[in-house]
Amino acid sequence: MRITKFLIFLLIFVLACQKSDDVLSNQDQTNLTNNTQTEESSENSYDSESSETNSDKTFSREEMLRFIVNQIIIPAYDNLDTSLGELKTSFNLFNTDVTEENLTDLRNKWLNSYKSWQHVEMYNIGKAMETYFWHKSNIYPVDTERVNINIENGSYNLENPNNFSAQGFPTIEYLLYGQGDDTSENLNKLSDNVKKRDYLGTIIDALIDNTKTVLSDWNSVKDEFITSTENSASSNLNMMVNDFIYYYEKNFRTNKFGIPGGVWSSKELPDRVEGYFSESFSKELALEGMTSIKNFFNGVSYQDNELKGYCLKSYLDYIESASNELLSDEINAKLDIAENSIKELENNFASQINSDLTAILRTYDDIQATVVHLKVDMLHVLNINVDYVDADGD
Amino acid sequence: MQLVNKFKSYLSENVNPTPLAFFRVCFGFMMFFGILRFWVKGWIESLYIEPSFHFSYYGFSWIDDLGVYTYILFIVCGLSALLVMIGLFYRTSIILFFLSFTYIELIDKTTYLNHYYFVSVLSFLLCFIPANATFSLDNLRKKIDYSHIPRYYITAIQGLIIIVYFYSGFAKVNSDWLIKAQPLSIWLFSKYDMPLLGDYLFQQSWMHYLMSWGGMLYDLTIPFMLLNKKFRWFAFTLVLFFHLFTAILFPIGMFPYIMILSTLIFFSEDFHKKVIAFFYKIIKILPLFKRSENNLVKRGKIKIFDKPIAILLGIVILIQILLPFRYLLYPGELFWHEQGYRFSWRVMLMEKRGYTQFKIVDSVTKKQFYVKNEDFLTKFQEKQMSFQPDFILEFAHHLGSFYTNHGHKNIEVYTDSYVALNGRKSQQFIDPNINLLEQPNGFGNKEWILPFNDEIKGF
Repeated sequence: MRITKFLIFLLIFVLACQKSDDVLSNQDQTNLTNNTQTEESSENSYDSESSETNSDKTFSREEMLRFIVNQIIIPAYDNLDTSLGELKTSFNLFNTDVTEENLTDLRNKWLNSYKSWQHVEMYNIGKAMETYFWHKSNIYPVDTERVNINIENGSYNLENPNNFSAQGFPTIEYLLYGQGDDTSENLNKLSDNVKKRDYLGTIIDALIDNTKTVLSDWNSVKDEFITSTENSASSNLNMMVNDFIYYYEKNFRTNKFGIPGGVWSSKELPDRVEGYFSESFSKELALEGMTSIKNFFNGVSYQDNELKGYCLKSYLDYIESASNELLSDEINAKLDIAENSIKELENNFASQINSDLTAILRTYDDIQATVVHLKVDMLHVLNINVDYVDADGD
Repeated sequence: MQLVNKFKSYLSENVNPTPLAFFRVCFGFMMFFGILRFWVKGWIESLYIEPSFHFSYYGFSWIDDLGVYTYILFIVCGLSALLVMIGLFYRTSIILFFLSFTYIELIDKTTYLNHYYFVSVLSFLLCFIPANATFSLDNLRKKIDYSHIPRYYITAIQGLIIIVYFYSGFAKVNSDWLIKAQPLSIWLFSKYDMPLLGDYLFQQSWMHYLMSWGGMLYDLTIPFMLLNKKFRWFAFTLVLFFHLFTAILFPIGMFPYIMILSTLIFFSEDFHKKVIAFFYKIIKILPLFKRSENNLVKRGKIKIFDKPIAILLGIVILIQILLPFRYLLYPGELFWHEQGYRFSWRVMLMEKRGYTQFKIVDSVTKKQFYVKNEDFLTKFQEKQMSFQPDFILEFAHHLGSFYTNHGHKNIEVYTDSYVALNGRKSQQFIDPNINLLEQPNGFGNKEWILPFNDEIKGF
């Protein structure tokens, strides 16, 4: 009888355990919340003072997500939304009064919003991922042929993936800078052709709509979002960490430096740089991206640089509290080196590539040094799996 | 000499074949279930058909997936497992199973797992063992049921299980496992989301040490406790606890269940007779069996000591005893270079992560570019390749011939490779100045692996 019972028990157990030996299903995930975290906490995790004393003693994954969402992501989206509103206002003025002065203002507002874009590109998660927000906003090089066809036809579907590289910041840039050899020629092309201005207005509107969609989604999901802190492929915590690394490796390293520098192609491709048509902002945009990387890693609030919270750095320091060589210090040191290396480059990466390619490749290597720390060392101690879905960005 | 004779007569003693029959049923069932599970999870597609390139075992590069016919391979494997379970056309079935299963494993070493290797070795042994002697449909088919077989058929299986446990325990006697509690520290810490245990117990350092030492002692002692009648039930309770615990903790698939059922081979024939009687009770409900059992009048004994087979089984066991020591032929740290790591029952010893990129250089023009690994490998393959030197070399050679075939000339292949092991900081793994195309595949020492900056003491 004992054996009978045992066999039945064994069979049940075998069946019951089948689920748990691989990645848990999506539904299982959301039901599990982490018990280690404190329930009551304010919007701001804690101020900078306590972060100094707390960081290596305690850590809360939920507080880390809370800080990132409330202090970095949502304010960054708010800022993008505002700057795009200003871009639209400036466009309306320009559209009724096509002058060089108004074009200059429009270009400034474009640059301003493009820079604030650099702070949200990393968060290709949730609604942003679902709506291909990144692809619609910042795929370069621009498909100029397609842009011109769209302008000519006047009918197009911006939701069509083929049109992802015919909208967003690079396409706005193409219309504002790429229509002639100098500003006056560009101005003439825009003033002569109302269709071009219409297209410009439409893609600015699309960008605004897309931003508002993602922003309002963040505001509605944020409280639930931060509770998903399990160590699994589908938890928000792990996806956020993966998105960060993915951004650093692909969007930042590969797209801004690697591809134009010819790292993957044996021949440099200067027309692939970000800010190609304006010929002067590649560096500014890249440095903005670097700031967003550092702020994410070190838990620096988007609005107030003095406000700090739980972040990957404090997570690593918490785990390595016994070590005297902190991985986070090494990562920050390497990021500083990479940032300085970028600062040494010309403003326009295309002309930098043409004048001295090795400088770009050197910068690429400096950026690359941190990839190893993030993908190997950091994920090694956090024991988070890399879960890249789509590898190519260009 | 007396001892040898004693051992020999112990091995050739006639015993009841019921333990073997029950083992056969369990094995067939687990294998069928395992194949089914593999299919349902879509792994036939993603692990064998989808990849455009397979990492081969040295000397087996001629084995490739069969495209969509790979499914047929799995059907053969699954059906033969079923036939083994019910004991119908046993000899043919187990040979088919061994061949199809081993073929599948040889397609791509990315999927290497010690327990797959265990299954291959075990099914090879079973090809020579009359596990259908009783409680099988072959009994009905041939109208003969055997009541006795020489003991060495059972001893061979027990021997293999003893080796698996003992060596995996012995491999844990090393400074990372015992002194640093690695990699369990990393793994348990990251299980913070596990109900009940995760948020407190698994965060405690003493727990990491407890489980490290406990695991080592378990593996080393469990086979001997199973051999001893006095400790057997206690040992089996431990087996249950240990394997079910690891099943919940780690993504190790069928392994725990295979081991749990395998250890039953150590139990007495009385135990197995009771289990089989229970099975008969269920089966007897079917009228077909009622009738056929009455027809089964003949009783037989397989009692001749079959020398060639006994020697063959002995040789397989001897190889298993020696093979794990082949790492001694290579200088440097085994965990780092992994030369002689596989096929040695080294399980759960390492948390290793790598990042390896390949640079294609034209030796004349000095033009160079990097390879996107994902153009050639699946994520899983890339992950495994990144920290295993034989994978890195094989992939480098593949890249060499790929780019040569695509019109590139004077190709050299270099790597940027970094690996982190058991909580240590990453360090460069492969000599970046070595053109891997000039390095031969094979068992020779891979001198282009940079030395490990630390020392791990132990077996």
